[in-house]
Amino acid sequence: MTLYDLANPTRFLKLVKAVLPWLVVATVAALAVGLYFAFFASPEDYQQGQTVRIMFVHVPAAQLAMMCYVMMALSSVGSLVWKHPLADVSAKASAPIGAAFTFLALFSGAVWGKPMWGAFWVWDARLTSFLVLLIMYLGIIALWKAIEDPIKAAKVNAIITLVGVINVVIIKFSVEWWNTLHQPASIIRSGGPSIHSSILIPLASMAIAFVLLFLTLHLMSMRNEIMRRRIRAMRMRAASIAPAASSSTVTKAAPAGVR
Amino acid sequence: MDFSEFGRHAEYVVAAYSMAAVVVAGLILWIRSDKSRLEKEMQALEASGIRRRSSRRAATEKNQVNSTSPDEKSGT
Repeated sequence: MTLYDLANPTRFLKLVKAVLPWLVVATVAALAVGLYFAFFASPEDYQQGQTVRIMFVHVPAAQLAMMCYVMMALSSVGSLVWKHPLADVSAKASAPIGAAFTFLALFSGAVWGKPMWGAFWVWDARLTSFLVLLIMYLGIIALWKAIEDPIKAAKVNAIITLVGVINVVIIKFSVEWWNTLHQPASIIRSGGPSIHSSILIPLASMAIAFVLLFLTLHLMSMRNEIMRRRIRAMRMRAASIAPAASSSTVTKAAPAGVR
Repeated sequence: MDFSEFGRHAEYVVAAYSMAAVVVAGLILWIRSDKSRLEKEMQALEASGIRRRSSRRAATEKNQVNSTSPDEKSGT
């Protein structure tokens, strides 16, 4: 099966049906392993103490929030270049998941910030650009709902999403470009991760679990969106048949002079 | 694990993980409820005789195959 074959919604749904149960099992198993490492197999940090455990939720949620936007951007390229409905479906299905994980990253960051920085929130470049990401997600969700025609909505959202990619770049490099309270990159950096393996392993386990969770939720959400579009198409067919049927009834019932 | 081991910052750790659970559970429930609502809607439409274009085409092709006589099928 080629990638082109997968672009067919019916074939895609068959694949989802086959893959989803395995993905659910893998996600649950990965979350169990991740939580075991996070709570039972990792030491407290010499500076952060037990609050380091918040990082095992915060960092994967933040990575996923950005990954979700990248997924939306790639889908938007598919929408604009190949005009494929499955790319539209992927972009639309990603937005609420991305918004949820962006909110979680902001919330977990705030509850980590209070004991560590003494404040839930600071107008730091990293935090502010992440707040902008949440607002962008909410705006994109609103736009999907505001435009009734899914093809037109996909086009508008694809352009806005691609313009918004600049914010993902700003989020990534904000800690290098500006003097921020948020610590610089400590995992994906030149020279390798700067975190000790006792903390890095739980972090990586939770990150894998979150990625699997995203894939599961994204496929489930895409399946719903395909169904929603089919229902819309069925309603439109019904609406286009109904006036024709009623007009033929009127024609038959009308007297000969009126015809 | 005893949460008293988290010391004076226990409430922050508990708050972060509780919110993570709420967000993930909320997403799953929302997606599942959306699916069941859409399935009901599609069943209602199909029950009222409205079919998807592809399923109508498939049904027509099936009927054509069934209505073909055995002679026609064998090509004689």
